[in-house]
Amino acid sequence: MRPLYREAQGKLSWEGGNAGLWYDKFCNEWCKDPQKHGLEAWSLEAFTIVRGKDRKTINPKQDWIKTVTEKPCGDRELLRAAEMRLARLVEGKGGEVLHYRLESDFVTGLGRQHPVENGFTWHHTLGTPYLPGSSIKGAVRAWAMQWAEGVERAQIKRIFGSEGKNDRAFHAGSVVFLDALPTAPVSLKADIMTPHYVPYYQGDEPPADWHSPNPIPFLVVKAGASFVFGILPRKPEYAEDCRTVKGWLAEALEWIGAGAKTAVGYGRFAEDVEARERFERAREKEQAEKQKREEEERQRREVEEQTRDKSGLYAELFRASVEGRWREQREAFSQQGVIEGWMDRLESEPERDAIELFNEFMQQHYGDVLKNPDATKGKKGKPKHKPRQRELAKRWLRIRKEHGDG
Amino acid sequence: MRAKIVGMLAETFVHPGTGQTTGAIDLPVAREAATDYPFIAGSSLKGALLDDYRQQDDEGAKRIFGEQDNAGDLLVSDARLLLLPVRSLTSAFKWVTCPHLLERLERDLKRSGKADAGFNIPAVERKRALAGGSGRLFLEERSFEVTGDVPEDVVEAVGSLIPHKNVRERLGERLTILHDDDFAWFARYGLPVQARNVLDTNKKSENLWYEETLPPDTLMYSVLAQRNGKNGTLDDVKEKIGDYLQVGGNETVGQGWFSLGWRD
Repeated sequence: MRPLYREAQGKLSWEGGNAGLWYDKFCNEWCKDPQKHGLEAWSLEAFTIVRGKDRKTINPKQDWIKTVTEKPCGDRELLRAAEMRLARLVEGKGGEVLHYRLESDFVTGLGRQHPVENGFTWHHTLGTPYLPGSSIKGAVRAWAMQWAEGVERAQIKRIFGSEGKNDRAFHAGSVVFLDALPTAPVSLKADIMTPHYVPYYQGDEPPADWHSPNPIPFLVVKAGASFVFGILPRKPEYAEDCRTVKGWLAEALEWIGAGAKTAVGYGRFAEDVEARERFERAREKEQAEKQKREEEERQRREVEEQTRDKSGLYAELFRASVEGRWREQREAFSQQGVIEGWMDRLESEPERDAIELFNEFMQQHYGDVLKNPDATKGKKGKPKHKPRQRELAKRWLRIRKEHGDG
Repeated sequence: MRAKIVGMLAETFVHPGTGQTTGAIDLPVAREAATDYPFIAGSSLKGALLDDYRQQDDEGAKRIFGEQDNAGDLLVSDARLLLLPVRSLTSAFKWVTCPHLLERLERDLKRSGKADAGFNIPAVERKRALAGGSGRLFLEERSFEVTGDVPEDVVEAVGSLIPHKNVRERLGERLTILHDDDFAWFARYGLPVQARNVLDTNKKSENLWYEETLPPDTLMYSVLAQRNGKNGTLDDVKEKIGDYLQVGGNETVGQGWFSLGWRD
């Protein structure tokens, strides 16, 4: 990592942008006094001079962490889209889409290099924290091997694969663990760990009460964040293994947790019923839209098929009839203006095939009127048909006579 | 010879590895020798297609993909990079490409029988960008001056390789064209690097290594063709493979999934 160019200093923010990029690369607070401490002393430890001695200022590391904790991080629409795409892939391959919510704070990627000492795992394109598939697989494997009941060794090996390439029957596991992604913008916060016996942990000395506590701030995901998980069988015949893993995953997330510092309670998940329901509704909506699109596509094809080698007007008329469902619904065809409009068109451009097609609809819905527009009923000789019907029928008979086959 | 161009949109991280170390990253992605752009070798892609196809039709696989002593009917090109998602301070990421990649796309479209590729290659200077919006654009730790919009016909041509409708709709606002040299920098240094770790039963690290990947939403494409004028091979492959394909390493930790946009 390198300090940032001058152009950017103090003028930038990650508003609407990628918080991970900001957090990892735009740290412009390195070493406030390069002349005193040298350019190589890149760290977030700012110094002030108090009574002739160097003193660390309050807490620049924590200040840096707080630049990403002020507001939720992630683009809502992008996250929703990612969730639906993950679901489509998983379900297309016969796997399981699962929703879990953080019951405690969560942290991962502490081992990565960063000026605040502890890094963080950011998703490259979403700009949010996430849980890599490899972490999930590791946690579930640990659960299955150490805690789960009634598990056979052969089963573990089949599901998770061989331990190393030196294994003579080396093979890949039967279940695929996808990255777990947040389903909504995520809240982050600064947390602090305070090792009390630093020289002891470094292996230099036995623990002693004259060692100074050393507070180290680090970034965590707040409890309450919701994530979508996906597991799928690597081949269709492993569907049963996938179901087994589904159970282990739930137990592992609840009992041993995922990410870092799980031994002190971080990274516990519980099923997220609310998110599940929201997801089901979104999926139903998506499927309805997909069906609608497919229906439109089918109509378009039908129109194309039916209007090949026909006149332009015929094609237009045919499309209008499919979209308006004229064949199925009399009301749609009889709407005020529809018939009149088309008769005007047919009169000005009397294409033979279009007239024949239009005649089919007239026959279907107005056949009775066409036979005798002026028919009467009852003793008083009341007209049998309404004025508009009569008018339309007469006009159509005339058009057909002038331009049609007759 | 009939050919199809297949758009490949990464749904997850993808690791088309080389299995060997060349620098600070333990496991880099495969790159073209001349340009250093990440790519997927035709042989890898063919292997992935075969693996998927064979699960549905073992006999057909022999004919289409060939055997030890006879060539198959299907020709598979390298998967080439077209859009690289690069992190930005104005939106989570921008889809970045350059005139050189667009020119290759145009040539490959022609090669696969689309004579009217239908777009002009835009020109852009160094340190400038064609993108939506105006002012300065921050990509990773570099900044660019936005000097104009991405031409509509380019958005159209690139979008035709993207399988999802709602992703296509996002294309216009995210597409960014940089000078070839600027793009090369991102192709070289702008990919995500993941730290992987093996823990022992006490959760102590036994082994830590760094892996480079292509990020989700990377757009690549490949040209598939049928040999000896054998009709139906491509349609058959399209039908059997379907919408998704897994390519490259780390399959069981969820990497390597592409959704496919079969363009006729």
